[in-house]
Amino acid sequence: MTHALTLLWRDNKLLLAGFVLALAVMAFFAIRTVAFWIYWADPTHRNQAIEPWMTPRYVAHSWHVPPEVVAEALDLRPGSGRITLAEIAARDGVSLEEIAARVVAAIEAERAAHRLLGPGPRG
Amino acid sequence: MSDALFELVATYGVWLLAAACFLSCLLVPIPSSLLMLAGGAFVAAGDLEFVTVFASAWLAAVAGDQTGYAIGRGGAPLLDRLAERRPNRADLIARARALVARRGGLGVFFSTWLVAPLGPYVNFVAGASGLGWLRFTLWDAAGEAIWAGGYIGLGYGFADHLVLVADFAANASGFLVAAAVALGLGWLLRARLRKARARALST
Repeated sequence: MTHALTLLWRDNKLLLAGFVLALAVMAFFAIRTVAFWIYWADPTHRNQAIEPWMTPRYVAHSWHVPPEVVAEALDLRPGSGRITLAEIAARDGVSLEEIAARVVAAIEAERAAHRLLGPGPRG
Repeated sequence: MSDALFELVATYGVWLLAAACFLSCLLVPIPSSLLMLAGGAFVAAGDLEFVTVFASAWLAAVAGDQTGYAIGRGGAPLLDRLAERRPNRADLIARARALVARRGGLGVFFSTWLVAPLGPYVNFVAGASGLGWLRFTLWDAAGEAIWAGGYIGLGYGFADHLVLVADFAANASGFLVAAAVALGLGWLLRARLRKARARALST
């Protein structure tokens, strides 16, 4: 083994260096994948906060409530087109925090009505 | 960064997806896999239709690969001239072409989904080395269907955890590409080592 490495290093430095680099990159991504896995295995890290890129229907899907609940909270006509929360906030001239608060309040009211009280989206 | 990409998909929908898939097959560095994951998540939410999302990503990717193949084919005479001018390279080029003719179909297939970041290069090589058009197209279309269907399906299935899946897929993809490169270089090194040992024995 040592002899093989010396032989390769003598004649194919670049190739061997590339091989070792590829192995290092492999290890890097493997460790990152495991780290993500450990991080996400903790249920408290799984809640998807309401983000500007989300659409009302996506929020409803993510928090497991009917899409009408979120649509009504944001004064959207049922079955209206695709729009993001950022666009709604800009259109209504309010902050995203206010939009998020309105949505969460509506979701919690819906859950209370169905005795499905739970903190945030299901894991 | 992924948030901005998800927002683009939410705003521009399938047209953005098609443009991204087309361009990423031509070496333009666009994270089309993340965009497809987002597309799948918006299908789950009811904001996009599965058929249009899948068709736009798949057809655009196939069209992008066709373009890469055509560019490679256009460059084929360059390869011929190189082989003519340098006889010592001619043998290498002929061997590379024979390898592509023998195994090229499978190479194209796996380069579209399993090691997708290598796909654009494989398209150029396939075109330049004269892999038959029909064979290229059939293997390519089958592979791209797995690529598009896989990412969109993953985004659909894990729509509630889009950020998690995006991180995970990016890491897995990086790992697979590094593994493919390590495998290729390792194979080359083994061949060189054998040759060196044979030479050592004969002297």
